[in-house]
Parts: sequence; structure tokens; C-alpha cells
Amino acid sequence: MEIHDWDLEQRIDLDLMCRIQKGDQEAFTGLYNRYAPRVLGLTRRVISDTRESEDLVQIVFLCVWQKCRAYRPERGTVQAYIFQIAKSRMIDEMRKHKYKAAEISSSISLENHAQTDNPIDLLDASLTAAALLENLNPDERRAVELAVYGGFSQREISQLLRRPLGSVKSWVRRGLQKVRKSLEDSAGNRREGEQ
Amino acid sequence: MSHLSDEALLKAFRRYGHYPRHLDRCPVCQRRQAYLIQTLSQLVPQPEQLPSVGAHAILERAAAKRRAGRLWSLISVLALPALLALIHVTAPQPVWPAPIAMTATSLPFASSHVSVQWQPGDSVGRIRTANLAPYTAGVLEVWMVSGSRHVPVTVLPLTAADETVVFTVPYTARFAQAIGITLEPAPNMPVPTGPRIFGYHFSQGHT
Repeated sequence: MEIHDWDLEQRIDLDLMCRIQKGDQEAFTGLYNRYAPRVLGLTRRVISDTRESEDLVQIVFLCVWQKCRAYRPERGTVQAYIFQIAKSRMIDEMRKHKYKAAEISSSISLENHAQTDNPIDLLDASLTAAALLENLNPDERRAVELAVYGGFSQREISQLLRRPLGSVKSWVRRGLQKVRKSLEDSAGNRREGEQ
Repeated sequence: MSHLSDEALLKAFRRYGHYPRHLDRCPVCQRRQAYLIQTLSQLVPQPEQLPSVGAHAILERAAAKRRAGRLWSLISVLALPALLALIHVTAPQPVWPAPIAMTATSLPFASSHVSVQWQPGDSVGRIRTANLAPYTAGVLEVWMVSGSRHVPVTVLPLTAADETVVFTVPYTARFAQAIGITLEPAPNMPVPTGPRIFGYHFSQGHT
């Protein structure tokens, strides 16, 4: 995804949300297809039970449909709004049902990394990702995912996973440091390759 | 203008309501955030999983919820008054004891009629008045009397028309020996101060 695509993506989301606010069901289907897999993916990081996490996704999107008029663009992006609802519901459900936090797998597939059409970029991204993932342990990875993709604060992650706040802070800090280092290494390798 | 750190930019990606204002106005930070997220998603892909149900199932659920809401509104509009009426009809009505005529003990009220329906132990009582003297210099206050202790229970309107007043009796006065009515300068006096106008002694059966 290029940076100009980023703006385009946000404009598409905003357009869909405006149409949803007018009761357009097709627009809702569009937004659902764009974000439901991501919300479910994130939910599964916390709630291991498939049925429960799918139920939660349905509740989240039911809420998006019913409370679409509460969305204010000045408060954040459409996806931030969706994930804010998901976040609140996940915390509520965790409190209500006392779910056991999902076990995390240390084996991480690189299949999802194929987000570019250029084979050289793909190779570069896979190598960098592989190097990063060797260093990024599962706890750090999940903490980074929840903090960045879920919009959770460190305190919320601590509540959600029932882990000490200090540990969560370390995971997020170390995880983001490793990501940054990988970015720098990747940029350095690219510069050397160009020379 | 200092720019946001990479960590702050990453954390702000899906924050709603706590969106840094700087990010809204700063194209440099916006581009940096886009770059960071784009690169991060290659390194740590966003977790994704296809849900088993589609959007139509959610829209149907929303419609069903709306229909149920309308149904409940309709039920509450139509059935609630009926339910209240039913409760009113079936609720146990107090069984009033036979009325006891209270005798006037004050000349201006000689032609007035006051009867009470209460017996020791009851929590509620009823007083009927007729032809009370239109006396403007005070109010009639009803007392339950146990020895020298007077507990106020209600105030009667001073009118020549027929009136019925239902009163509740505090727990401490449920076994009062007598009931008395005094003419008071103001309603809700803590102790009787005016002359006794009517009275009845339950154990002795007279005023």
C-alpha cells in the first residue's frame, strides 16, 4: 500500500460511513467486508473460542450500524471508530465471561507478508520480517498488534490479557524498538543495494 | 512545531477520541504515520480471519431487534393501561369497619356530622364529614390518642360539602385508645393546642 493509497483508503471509509449514516445497506456491506476480517483477527488474538469471537464481531458491527451517527471525523478515522467499539466490547466481554486469554503461538507464518507485487520488495520484506520475527517474541508481537492495530492502551492490554502492567509496558516498548530497528536495517540494506 | 515520535504515531493509528490534534494538521506526521503503518504491516501483518457470516446476517439481526423494539412499544402502549386496570380490579381492597359517629363537643359544630371507619390495629382509616361549619380561623386536625400521647394523622377540609378523607396510621399509633379532632391555628401541629371539636373512645364506645 503506497502512501497515496492510504489517503484514498481513508476517503473510501469516510464515504462508506456517510452512506451508512443515511441507511445505505450496501455501504454497510462494503465496510463490513473491509474490516470484519481484521476485527475478527484481532479478537482471536484475545478470545480463543471461535464462536465467541465471531459473536463479538457481529455485536461490533451491529453497533456500527446502529450507532453510525455517533461517528465524528474530527475524533479519528472510521477504522479507529470501528476498533474503538471492538475494543470496548472485548474489554466488556472479558470482564463478563472471564475468558482465558488466548494462548499465543510462537510459530508465525510469513504467508501474510505478500502485500506487494514487486518480487524484490517481497523478498526484502520477507527477509526483514524473518529477521524481526526471530527477535520478536510472541508476547511482544501480540502486545504490538493490540497497541497498534487494536488501539488499546497499555493498561487496557494488561486488563485484557490479565498480565502485570509492567510486563505489558516492556513488551510494547521492546516490540516497537525492534520494529524500528528492523525498519532502520531495512532502509540501510536498501541504500547499500542501490549504491 | 515538534513532530510526534514514531511510537506515538503508531499508537495513534486506531485511537478514537484521543486523536492527537497535531496529527490532524501536520502533513509530515501524517506521511510518516502512513509509512510506519505500511511498513509495520509488512513486518507484523494485521491479524485477519474471515468471519463465517456476512453483513446481511447483521442487518437482519438489526432489523429483528428494531421489530422487537417496536413490538414492545406497542405492547406497552396497548397493554400497560389494561394491566394497570387489572391490577386495580384484582388488588385487595381494604375492608372498612362499620362507621362510628363522632359526637361534636363544640357548639359551632353541633350540626356537623363526622364518622370514622377505623379499629385498633388497622393501618388505614377513613373519615367522612358533612356540613362542617365554614370556620376560617383554623383547620381541623385528627389525632390518634394513647394515654396522653397524641399522634397527628390527617387534616380535614373545613367545608359544608360532604368529604371523605382516607388516612394512614403510623405503626406507633395502631393501637390508639381514642381518636380526637381539634381546631388548630395551622395544619400539621406537633401537639394539639386548640379546643377539641370531636372525639371517640374505642374501648369505651363513646366520646
